[in-house]
Parts: sequence; C-alpha cells; structure tokens
Amino acid sequence: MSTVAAIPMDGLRIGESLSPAEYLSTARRIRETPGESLRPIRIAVLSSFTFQLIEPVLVVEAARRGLRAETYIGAFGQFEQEILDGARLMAFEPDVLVIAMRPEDVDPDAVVRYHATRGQRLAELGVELADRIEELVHAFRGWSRAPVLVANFASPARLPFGVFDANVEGALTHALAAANLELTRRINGCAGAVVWDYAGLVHGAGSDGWTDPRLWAMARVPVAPRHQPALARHLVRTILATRREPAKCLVLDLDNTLWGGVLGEDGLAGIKLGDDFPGNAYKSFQRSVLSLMDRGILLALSSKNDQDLVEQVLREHPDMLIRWEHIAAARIGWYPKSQGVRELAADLGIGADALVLFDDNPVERAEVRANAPEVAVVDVPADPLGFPDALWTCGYFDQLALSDEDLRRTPMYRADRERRVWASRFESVDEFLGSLEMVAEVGEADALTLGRIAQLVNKTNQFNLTTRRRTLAELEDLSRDPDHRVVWVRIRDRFGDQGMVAVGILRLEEDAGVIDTLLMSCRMMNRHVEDVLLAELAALTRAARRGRLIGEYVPTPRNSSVAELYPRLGFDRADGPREDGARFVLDLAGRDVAWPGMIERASPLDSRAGDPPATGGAAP
Amino acid sequence: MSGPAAVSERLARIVAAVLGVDEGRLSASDSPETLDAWDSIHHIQLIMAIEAEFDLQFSADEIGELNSIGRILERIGEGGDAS
Repeated sequence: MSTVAAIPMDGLRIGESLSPAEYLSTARRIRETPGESLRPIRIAVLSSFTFQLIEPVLVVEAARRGLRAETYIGAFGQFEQEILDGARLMAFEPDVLVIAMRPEDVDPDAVVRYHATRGQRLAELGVELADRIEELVHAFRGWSRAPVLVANFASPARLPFGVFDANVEGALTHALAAANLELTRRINGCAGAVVWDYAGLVHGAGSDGWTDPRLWAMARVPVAPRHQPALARHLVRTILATRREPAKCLVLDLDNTLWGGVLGEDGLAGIKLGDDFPGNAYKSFQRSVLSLMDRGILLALSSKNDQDLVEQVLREHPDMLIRWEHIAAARIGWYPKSQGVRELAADLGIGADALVLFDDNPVERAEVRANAPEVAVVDVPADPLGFPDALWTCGYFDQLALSDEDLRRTPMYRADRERRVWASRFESVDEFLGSLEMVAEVGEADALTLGRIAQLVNKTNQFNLTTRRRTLAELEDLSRDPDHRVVWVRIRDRFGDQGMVAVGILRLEEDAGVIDTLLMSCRMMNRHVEDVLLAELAALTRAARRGRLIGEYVPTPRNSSVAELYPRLGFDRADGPREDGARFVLDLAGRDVAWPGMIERASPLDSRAGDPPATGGAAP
Repeated sequence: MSGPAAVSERLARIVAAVLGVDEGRLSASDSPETLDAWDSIHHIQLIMAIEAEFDLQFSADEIGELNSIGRILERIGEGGDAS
C-alpha cells in the first residue's frame, strides 16, 4: 500500500485517446491477457441507469492506472435487492462498491417538474435518497469491509427555470446543492464510505451534451460515448484514492518549471516570471503548487543550480509566489536527481515513495524513473500553460479527507526548522528537551480523532512496531470494542502545536494487555513521546486488572530503528528470536513505565470534552 | 484513395473490434442472426463505434434498422466520410 506510481499496461499510454471500437477491443485484450503487471481489483457498480456500456471503458482506464478491473454490474435500480439479498454480490467479493443513484432516474418529476411542488418533492427525494444510501452502506457493512463510493447529484443541463434558475433562491440549482451537502454529511458519517463527485465530473465536462438522448432513450445510458472515458478516469482515480496513501511531498524542479529560462544563464532579472505572457504561465503554476501546500502537501526543491542564487530568487524576486519559507527541504546541486530526491526523503523523514517529482525535463524524469522507481513522476507537458492541469490530473495527492494536521503541516515543518536552530544552543539533549516545555495530551479514539488515527495507522512506516494497517471502519470497530483501547497522544511545545503524533492500540487478553499497535510520527523521535504512550497503555492495562503488558515487534524493511524499543523501556524478551518478530513482556507488579520527566501532562481542562457523536451508518 | 472497398474494410475492422470476431470471416449478410456476439448491447456499441469512425450520426429510428452489415454499408455509402 505504498507505491503511488502508476504502472500502465504495456503499450497503453496514460493520455492516449482511443476510439469507441478501440476501447472495446482493448478491454477484450486486457481481459484475455493474463499477466502480473496489473493488480486485480473487483469493482461492483450498482446504478439507477445502465452501466454495461460504460464498463469496457472502465476496464481500459483502470489498466492505464495499473489495475485489472473485474466488474460486477448490478441490475439497474436494484440497489436493495443486490445488497440485502446479496448472494450474488457477496460471492463476487467486491474490493470496492460504487453506488450511483441519479435523482432524475428515481423520480423524474421531482427534477424536471420541480416547480409543480415548489421544490418540495425534490427536497423530500434528497432526504429519501440519503436515507436509502445510508441504509445500503450500513447493510453492505454487515458483510463487507470494502470502501463504498457514492455518486452525488449532478445538475441537469436543462434547468427548470431556464437561464434564471440560479437567480431564484428556491430553484433547482440551489436545492441540488443543498441535497449534495446533506449527502456529504451523511456519507461522512458512514465508515468507509466516500462521495464520488459525479456532480463535479459532469460540471467539469459540461452538462450540455453529457447525455446523448438516443443512448438514453434506447439503452438508459445517461453518459454520451465521448464523455465515457472522462467518467471512467474520474471513477478510477477516486477508487485509487481509497486504496493508496496520498503522496506527502511535491518535489519541484526550478529552471523552466517554476520560471522560464535558466537561472544560471539568464540571472535573477532575466528569468521569465511575471504578470505577462510567458511569465504569467509560470506564475499561475506557482499558485497551483501553493494550493497543494495549503492543504498539507510539503514542497521541496531538486535542481541542478547554484544554491545561493536560488535562495536569492526565492527571497527577493518580486513575482515569486513560492518563497523560501514555503520550502520544507531543498537539494540544489550538480548530482543525479534520483540521488537528490532520495536525500530529500531522508531530510524530511518520509519514504521516497511519498514523493512526487514535477520536472519539465524528460531526461531528468527518465533518470528518476529508472534509478528511483519508488518516486512518482508527473508526466509534464512541454507547454507551461499545461502545468497546472498536469498537477491536477496526476491524482497522486488525492486524499479522502482533510484533517486539522494537514492544514497546519507546512507551519509545523517550519517550526521543526526553528526547533533545530534552538537545539544547537544546548549542550545536552535533556537540557534541550526540558527547554521545549512539551505538554502531552492523551485520550481514547472518538469520532473527532478517528480520521487522524487512520492516517497515522496507514502511513507511519519507521516508528511503527507492528505496521498493521487498518481501515477507518476497522478502527472505529476497535474503538468501540470492550477488549480494545485505541489511544492517541497530542504534543505541543514552545514552538507550537504538533497535533496528534502517536497512536497505540491495546488488546486486553485474559491476563495481559497486548500492544497490538504502537506508532509515532518520526518527527517526534528522540523526544520521549513514546514513553508517554507506553505509560498510558500500562495504566490502562492496570486499570483493566491485567498484570502484564506485552509488546510485539514485527520487522519490516523500514522499522529497524525500533527493534530494541521494548528492551530499552525495561521489557523482558518473552521468547527466542523468531522470523516473524519478537514478543516482550513487562510484569506490572514489579515495574512500571514512568511518565517522562520533561513532558508535562495536559490538565483535564485542556482536553477535548464530550462523548463521541453517533457515526457509522446509523440506520434505524 | 476512396471507394466501396475501403469503406467495407474499415467497417469490417470496426465490427470485428466491437464484437470480437475474426475480421476476415465477415460478410455483408452478417447480422444478429448469424453472429452470437451481436446482441442488443453490442448493437448499440457497434453503432456508436461506427458513428465515431465515419464521423456521422444516425437517427434513433435508423439505429434499429441497421441490423446487418449490408444495410450499414448501404447507409454509410449514402453519405458520411467514406474517404
């Protein structure tokens, strides 16, 4: 679940456009050609319209992204039958379920004759569909953990109040927007379900012509052939986002990427960057890059250039939107890019597979693809006006939800830099740690914290004792299970709030508490934050009247730095060395895990209060 | 180069690609009766593929009547891009 780079099928380029006949023959070739280059995925689609004609296009677009799609197309409109009496669907064992319910298919009059009931019928339909979908997801959850994608509601091309529909507060335009907002709220409350932005897809393509009236009348297919590839690509991209971790860092080249021209030759005043063409092409690309940073993507630089000159441009050029303080790490110098990007990953404490390279130079892209294949590389077009689109369509940064931590990430990394400068003033590590004035807040998982917990569980590699990945739905189940405790730690210090940085999952067995999961953001290494978590897990084990705390270490290629964590904390080795890891035990009668002296415990008044609100397909 | 031969070859290629049959064994008399793969779904797919290939558009009424390779050839021959 790590590599973000897509592996297109041989001979099938990502951007190449195919005719309808080519889609069909290519889909057949994909189905008939066994091969290990494509990862199998079973996609079930339940829709209020005919999906069969779109299916071959989906198979081809999935293959372009490295997936071999096997599909299950439900009888149209038969949502409850397919899921509730789900023998056929169950036998298919879907890896992902798509639910696409168009309001106009369920009740055409509610949409087309919107004003017959002053919109009342549509408002009721919106609630009815949200209820139905919620129940369907809930029922599906009874037998499957697969993610569910729910299409939202697209606006029709022909609005009932014509060109002035949007001018009337009570008209369809605004009623559909309200219905979509309500749908999003409901879906966010269903574990493992996400909105598939069908409305955004139709809007992006243009609702006029989205449907071919002949295809609709003869076959109940609401998507014209020329739009089917866009639909399939959008769906595949959404599916991929549920199956892989978003990239964490965008690595940018400089010359002819962030500005036009070559800095070393043209100089600070000579590079093309400004408010007129062609400099404005680069400026608008920079703005797109910053919009990624705003939602938590780190920015890094990798360029064959002169470091001082680059720093001068990022600090002084009046038209640079990307400034030096936005950059989390930089490798400027005359060595292979593949080496530069790997060093950037090490600097940032993240895996190289969490990096995405954006470089205008095809030779550099090929070098990184060849020598650092774990790094995702954006296909950059020759024309800089196409850069924002290339960034937007690459999909590597797609993530299902936006957490508080995402919005504060760049300032947090900036604070890390300040912390390093501060650290250099101290002789001893303990003196430095004491000076940080760290405060830890510890709590158990609830609806507010599960999203961030799932993020940490699924993307922490280095400080992770067991590397057990879990979906949000699974974590939610564990958080409610009486024999489990899902515990989190938040840290703040004199440089700011670090957010939630560590998670532990404790499983209560007959006579012991077993630490199923223990992980921490590697930004917190060497700050005794893990001691806080261990102390809490020990206290919970005691409170549950279990006498021993058992820890496990499952080795992976990435987590060797924590192999000796438990012995260091006073645990005894429980058994001899085994291939699948080691177990350690701490007898709580004799010893304890002490709360670290340099970290203050947040007083209960500081902590988030309140019971977890009801979530998870709360069907009646 | 143009002419009926070129059109029929292009059509045969489309029919073969859509239905997954051998291009060389197709004849003008082939229809849903002679080709198992030519069901109602494939008929729609075939029509859409032909429209894209020859850059033309059939009316909904016509689509139902274009039920053999011969009839389709005849219809394409009447107009459209047969170069």
